Amino acid sequence: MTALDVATSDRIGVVHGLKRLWAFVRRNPALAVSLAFLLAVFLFALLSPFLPHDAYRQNVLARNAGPSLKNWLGTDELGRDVLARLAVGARVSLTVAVASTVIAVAIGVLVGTIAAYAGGFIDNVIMRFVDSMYAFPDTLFAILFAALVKGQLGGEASGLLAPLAEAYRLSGGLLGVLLTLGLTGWVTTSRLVRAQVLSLKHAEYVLACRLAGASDSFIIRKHLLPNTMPVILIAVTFVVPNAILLEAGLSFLGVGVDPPTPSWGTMIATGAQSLQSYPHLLVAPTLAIGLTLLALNVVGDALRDLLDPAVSASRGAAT
Amino acid sequence: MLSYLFKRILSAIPTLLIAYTLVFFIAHATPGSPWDSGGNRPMEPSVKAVLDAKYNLDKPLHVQYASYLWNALHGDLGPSYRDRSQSVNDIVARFLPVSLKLGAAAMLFAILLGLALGALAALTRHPAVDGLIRMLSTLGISMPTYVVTSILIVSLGVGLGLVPTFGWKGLFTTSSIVPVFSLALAPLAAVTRCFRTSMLEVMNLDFVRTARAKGLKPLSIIIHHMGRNALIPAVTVAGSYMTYVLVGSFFVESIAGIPGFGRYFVLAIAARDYPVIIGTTLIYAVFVVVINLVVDLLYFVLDPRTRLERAS
Amino acid sequence: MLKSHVFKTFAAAALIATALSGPALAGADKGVFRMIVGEPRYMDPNLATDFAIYVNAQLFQPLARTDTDGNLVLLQAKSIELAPDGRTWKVALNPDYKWSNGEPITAQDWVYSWKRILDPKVGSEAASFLSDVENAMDYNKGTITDPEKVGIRATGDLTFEVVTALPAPQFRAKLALPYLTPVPQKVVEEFGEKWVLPEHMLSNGPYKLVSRVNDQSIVMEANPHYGGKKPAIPRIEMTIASGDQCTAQLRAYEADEIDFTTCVPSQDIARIRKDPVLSKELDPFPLAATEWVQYDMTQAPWNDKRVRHALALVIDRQPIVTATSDGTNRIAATIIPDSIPGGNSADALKGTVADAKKLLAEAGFPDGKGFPQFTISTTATRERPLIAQLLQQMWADNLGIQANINVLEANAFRAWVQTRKTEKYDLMINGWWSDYADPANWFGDLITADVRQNHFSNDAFAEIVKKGDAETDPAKRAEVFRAANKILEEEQPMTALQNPTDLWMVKPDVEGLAHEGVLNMYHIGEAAFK
Repeated sequence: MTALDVATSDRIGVVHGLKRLWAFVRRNPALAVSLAFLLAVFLFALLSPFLPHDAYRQNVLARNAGPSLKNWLGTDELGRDVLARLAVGARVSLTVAVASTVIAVAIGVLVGTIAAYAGGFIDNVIMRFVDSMYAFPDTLFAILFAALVKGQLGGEASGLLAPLAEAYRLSGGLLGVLLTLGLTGWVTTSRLVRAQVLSLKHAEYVLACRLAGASDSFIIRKHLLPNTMPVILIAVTFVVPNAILLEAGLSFLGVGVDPPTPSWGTMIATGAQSLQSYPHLLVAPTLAIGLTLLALNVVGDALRDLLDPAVSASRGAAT
Repeated sequence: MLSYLFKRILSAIPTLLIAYTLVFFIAHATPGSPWDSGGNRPMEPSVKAVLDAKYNLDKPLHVQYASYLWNALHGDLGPSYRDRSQSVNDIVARFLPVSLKLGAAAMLFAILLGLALGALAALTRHPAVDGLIRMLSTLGISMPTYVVTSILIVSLGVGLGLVPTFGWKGLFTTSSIVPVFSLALAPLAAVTRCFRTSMLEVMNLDFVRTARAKGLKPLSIIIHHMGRNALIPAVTVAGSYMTYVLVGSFFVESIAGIPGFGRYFVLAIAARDYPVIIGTTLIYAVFVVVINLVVDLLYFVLDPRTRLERAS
Repeated sequence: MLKSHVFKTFAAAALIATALSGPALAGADKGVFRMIVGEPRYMDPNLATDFAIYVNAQLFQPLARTDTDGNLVLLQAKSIELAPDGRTWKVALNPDYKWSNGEPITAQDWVYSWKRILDPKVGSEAASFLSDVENAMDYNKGTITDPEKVGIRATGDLTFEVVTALPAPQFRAKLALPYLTPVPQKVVEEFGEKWVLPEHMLSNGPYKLVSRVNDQSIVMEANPHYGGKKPAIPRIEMTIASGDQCTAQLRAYEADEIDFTTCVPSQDIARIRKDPVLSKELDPFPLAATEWVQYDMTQAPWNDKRVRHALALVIDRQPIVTATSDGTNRIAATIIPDSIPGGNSADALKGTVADAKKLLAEAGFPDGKGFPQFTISTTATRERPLIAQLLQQMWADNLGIQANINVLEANAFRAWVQTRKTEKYDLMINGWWSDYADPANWFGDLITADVRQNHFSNDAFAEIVKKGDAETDPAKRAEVFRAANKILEEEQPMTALQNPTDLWMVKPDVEGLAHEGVLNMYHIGEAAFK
């Protein structure tokens, strides 16, 4: 199975992709390490309840302690074990990243497909809307939006907002961050999907389907969406790291998750405040975010290389 | 090409209008009032009513929406509620230049160093050098800016005393070192990665191999043959970071005490200073539109193929 | 080969950069007092009530100051007398004091300024400080429109009188408030809102405004026409910080870029206190202020006194002061601080955790069973979220009840508190800082006026407070208000937690920078470099 073979076929199946990914991984040590690291983080988050210390148990007398045999990464400003909080924080940050990516990508796919398939005026209107979202500084827009969400859903809410407010409370403030990230992150995906669908729209087999009498929804479901999968995956590789960074930024500004829920962002915020007195509080979450993002970016790079036929063609010719 | 330019400018109008509408309604929907300070006691409702009336906040939203838009089109972005002796135009005139200077310096640094490092990584014969540059640049886009800024200020400013910990004395003073570097880190990393990738792609193309076989020196090959093609993706990346950098990163400006546009924007959000919020968003949106246009025009210049596409 | 090119370019660039940069830090110029402040919302002294008053206090001065014994120390006034009717305050101005351009400060300026504070069109937040004055609040609310009816009148070029609606002994303390300073009538009328620009502003205090770049810097220089002792420090340079001012101040202080800081970030307090050099430069000041957690008295289960007592009795305040301030804040078990007449910490609730559990069981929630989940709301600023987390765990551990925490951004929190006038809530963490050292500021302004939406109403309490308001003899007043304090603590609509302590740091070469008054003002005009 050479790269050339794949480049000449129109469909890139997911199974094909996985097989090639495995071969790719074996040749690329950085990728292997990154995947292993991400798996480790995932397990770390999963196993958080089994760690010796509770992420929420305060012990003010033992606060801000450096790493020791008892607390491997030290304790925070209320005496809670940093390692335990890092683990729960991993869960929170990753949940937020994945969930908000799902929301963002879902909206992006919907918008992009409709725009590209409908074409004409609808496409124009939607694209103007997308352009205006790009014209916003996304961090600043997220801040405004997060303050709005918190203001409306935090505390007592009435009428239509009441079930949302209840969900907000149950999620420990996560819902606010999720909504903010999801509703601001769909833009990149929509553009990528739209470009892909536009190019596929005019492909021969689609034309053939149309002539045969297939309905629009059938064409979308059976042909356009599956062939858009690579592009969607590429979009995901951009959105997930951005979501993690944005959540950290929101928490740093105080419009992220509510205490006492730990997230890497809130831990970095506390760490930045303690930089001169207790630097260990900044080191752990910064390394956690930095390395996770590094790993995600390496995997993302590899995935993009894999899925983009032009790149793999040149690589195939070069080797 | 002129018709293309005209069409782009025309399509910018609905974009800006939508951006204006979005920010207007979100800003007004966020709970809180511009008049409450952090003092002990809340403002008397009667006094609040007087202030609201004075600044037309008691009118129905659609009326405010239309009147602000009308004024904005005439160049009047309104008064600042936070500081009633200033207008938004004053504020923009005062703070935007600082962010622009900072951003331009950061962008220049990022592009020059990014191109150099990207080329180095692509052309080097030592895979270790390539690997190191790739690792550092990927790390560069993985670090939150506020962490980098804080660490630099504490280590270089408080610890070593090499830079001031706070404040802005001008672009060519030590007070610009930390903010410029912090701002430049992400675009630097992105340009490095991008330029390296496109150099690698171009390096293996037929015409380059031919040139090499002919015996041309690597440097002249780079400049004459590869440069242009490799630059295109780098221009894209630089363009996408341009707005972020030029209009000021809130985090860097806040932590380092730079009186810039980004910091002012978030202060306005905290104070519910609607004219400043809406006015600065509009200016930011205009910037984005203009920069996108410039980037597209650069494509025109760099890539003859796009010219052909446009012409057809 | 390419590499060497690259390297040479870098080296050149580095050299150029070093050459262009000036010295990293300007050495401290001993004629300049440097500090970092937050951007003042108003430079107009009639309008500001938040931390802007500290900046403005260098420029504008009130009639007098209150010393630690409660006596008035005259400044801009030559004399202040209370007429036998107990309602008319006669003020004679000291003609030595002039505006910063040399022009005399007239009684008309003072009268104009105070009426301007009350003017509803101006919308000053300081209006409520003149609430005792005859017709003041009616004018401010718009019920009457003629400013002449307000009980502030000039009786000569340098004399004016203020008439209160009822005899108001607390007005003496209010005369010394930094909010009630004069503004130059001619200048304000001529330039409107732009009168605060340095080219127009006139000030009556030790300094005058030389330059102000919004959100960047404020520069003041000694006022040559100041009538009091001329300031030893000729120039003040303030740099503006936004966001986290405490961190910016401490970093700059430790890098010797400023001479004075007004706060220390909570995570750095322990390190400073242990540091042999910095601990000597620490200058704490206990504030007449309290932070507490309050209950919505109209909601179940908070309307049941046993529930409030149960929650109050299990609170261990030591971890709270430790976590928020490394112990520099003081434990408070009563709302009114001891330094305010009428306050007395002996009135605090007494009981053990076992008592609390029993009370909760009596209220119908044995071991917390059946107790509804509730929300503690707090602002994101300062260390309030830490307090909420500590309380959450204390109540869960000792009573088995579950709290959620809702942290709101500062502006949204203020708006949320105000809407609680008609909307319900469970608990909120809030605080109050004494504006002036009189029981009326706490029993009246805070609790009776219910500005924190506590929804507390108690007939016996209201009766006693009314009696106390009318009592002019200070000793008898304190006694009456003490009785009210007993009721307040027994009813426990709010549970006091701590009295904050301000932490200043002052460079060793600065002397004479004292803490003044209940508001902990600083007067740079009275300080000097050694």
